[in-house]
Parts: sequence; structure tokens; C-alpha cells
Amino acid sequence: MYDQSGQQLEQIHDYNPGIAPDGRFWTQAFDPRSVKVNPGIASAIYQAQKLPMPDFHDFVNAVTGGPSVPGVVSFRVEWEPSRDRHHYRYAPNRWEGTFVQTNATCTWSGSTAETSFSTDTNDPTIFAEVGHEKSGVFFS
Amino acid sequence: MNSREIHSMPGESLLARPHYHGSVTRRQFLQAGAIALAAGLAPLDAVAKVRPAADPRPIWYGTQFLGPSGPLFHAQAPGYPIPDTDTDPATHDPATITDFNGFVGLAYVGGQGTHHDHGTGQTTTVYWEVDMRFMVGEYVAQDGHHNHGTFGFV
Repeated sequence: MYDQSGQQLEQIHDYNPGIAPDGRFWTQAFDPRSVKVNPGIASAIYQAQKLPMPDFHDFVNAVTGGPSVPGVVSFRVEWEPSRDRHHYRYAPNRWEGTFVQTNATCTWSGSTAETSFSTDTNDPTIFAEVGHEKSGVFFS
Repeated sequence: MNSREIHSMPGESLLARPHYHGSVTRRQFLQAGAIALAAGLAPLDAVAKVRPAADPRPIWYGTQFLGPSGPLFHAQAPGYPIPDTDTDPATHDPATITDFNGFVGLAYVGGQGTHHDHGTGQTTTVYWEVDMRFMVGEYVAQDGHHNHGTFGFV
């Protein structure tokens, strides 16, 4: 979230689960029921409610091991059906995937002991895609 | 700043500014049926963080968000091909785990929201932007065993 009262946007919240000791970046296990995919038309829903999530205030603080405060977030992201299909393959990283580019909408809220936030509107999608990929030992 | 400029900028610079969209700047960093995923969505209050049988491996590549001499963070940014600009698939992987075979979703979305300060009682309109990703499927865990799991990037 960004304060837009000044000349420049100033980030005031950055909710993320942090970087795991093994290096996994902002990635955590979810209940399988939190994601639903319709691969045929590439639509999907990803949602969670009342998920504990620290607030690191801003990106640089988050990636440099800065402090955070406890928070809770809820969200729902929906990918619209599309057939704009693209295939990518990059052997040096041992991954390939087929992705459908589309639009997405998001409702999101987050709160700490001191503040709360909720989305009101969505601007046009910056970028969204859903696909299937194979990497590492599954890459051939 | 537009998307082209974002793409050509080093990670260090990307940290300093959000995406550009129309007249509004925004957050930077960032910026089948083979698997029968859940038959239906769970009641919202049933959706919560869980721990799978074993942890997946992070991708071994990524982005040096703090500059070329900084550490490597195991996520690609932006993790998608910028339309009409980015034709190199080297940075297109939206997943943050490897040894993975499954579905991935990525969404960069932003807009206007309402921020409330509980202490002062002040309510303001703010700009928000998110980079949300999920990974659902088979993976080889750090212990070498095959598993199925659902992972979210928030």
C-alpha cells in the first residue's frame, strides 16, 4: 500500500510471509482448498481468509531482514477465462511452461494492531497469467 | 516510467518505484484437468496456512533486488514476459519452487483502497498493488520424496 498524498508514492505496508531459512521467497504452504483452477480455460481463484501475515512496512525493509509487526490478511484473486496461450522454455534454468495471459481482479484486506486496509477498486490488470509448468527433475 | 523502462532497469532501481500504469505509478517489484483440484472452494474461514509433508526446494535462480553485488533472492521479477518488450524466457518463470510439475498463477493487480489508522482515527485513500502467485501440483521435496502441495506467494 502506498500513501499518495505527496509528490511521490510512499509505501506504507508490505504484507508478506518473509523469506524462509532455505531461501524460499515469500512462499508458504496453503490449504489445497484455497486454490481452484480450470485449466481448460485458464480461469482460477486463489483466496484466503484471516491469514496471519507480518507487515514489513516496505519492500526494502522486507528483503533486508528488517522488523515486522504481526498482521492478518484476507484476499481473493480471480483470473478470467482466456485462450491467449503462450509457451516458454528456458533450459539453463530447467523449466518450461504453457501459460494463458488474461485479466485478474483482486479484493484484499490487511490489518495490524494499528492500521487496517481494504481494497475499493481495481485498475486494469497489469499482468496476469495461469498455466502449467515443469521444472527441475520434471524438465526434459 | 513505463513498462519498457521498468524492464531495462536493474533490480536496485526497481525497488525505488512501483509499476507504471496510466497516469499512476505503482509498486515495482515486483513487480488439464490432470489434477483434480478442489471440487469447490472451501468456506473462507477454513482456508488457512498449512504445512505440507515436506518443504519444496526454492528455485536456484532469481533476482538481485539490491543490486549486482547484493544477495540473490529466489524469485523472478517480474516473473512474466512484459508484452511486446520481453522476449527472453530466462526471467519468465512465475514459480518460486523447483522440481515442480503443476499449475501456476500470477497476478499483478492494483487500484485504490481505504486505509484506516486506529490510533488517530484517520481514514485515507491509498494506492495498492499486489503480486500474487500460487503453485499447485507435484513436487520433489527437500527430503527427496514426491509430494503434492499447494503453495502461495503473497
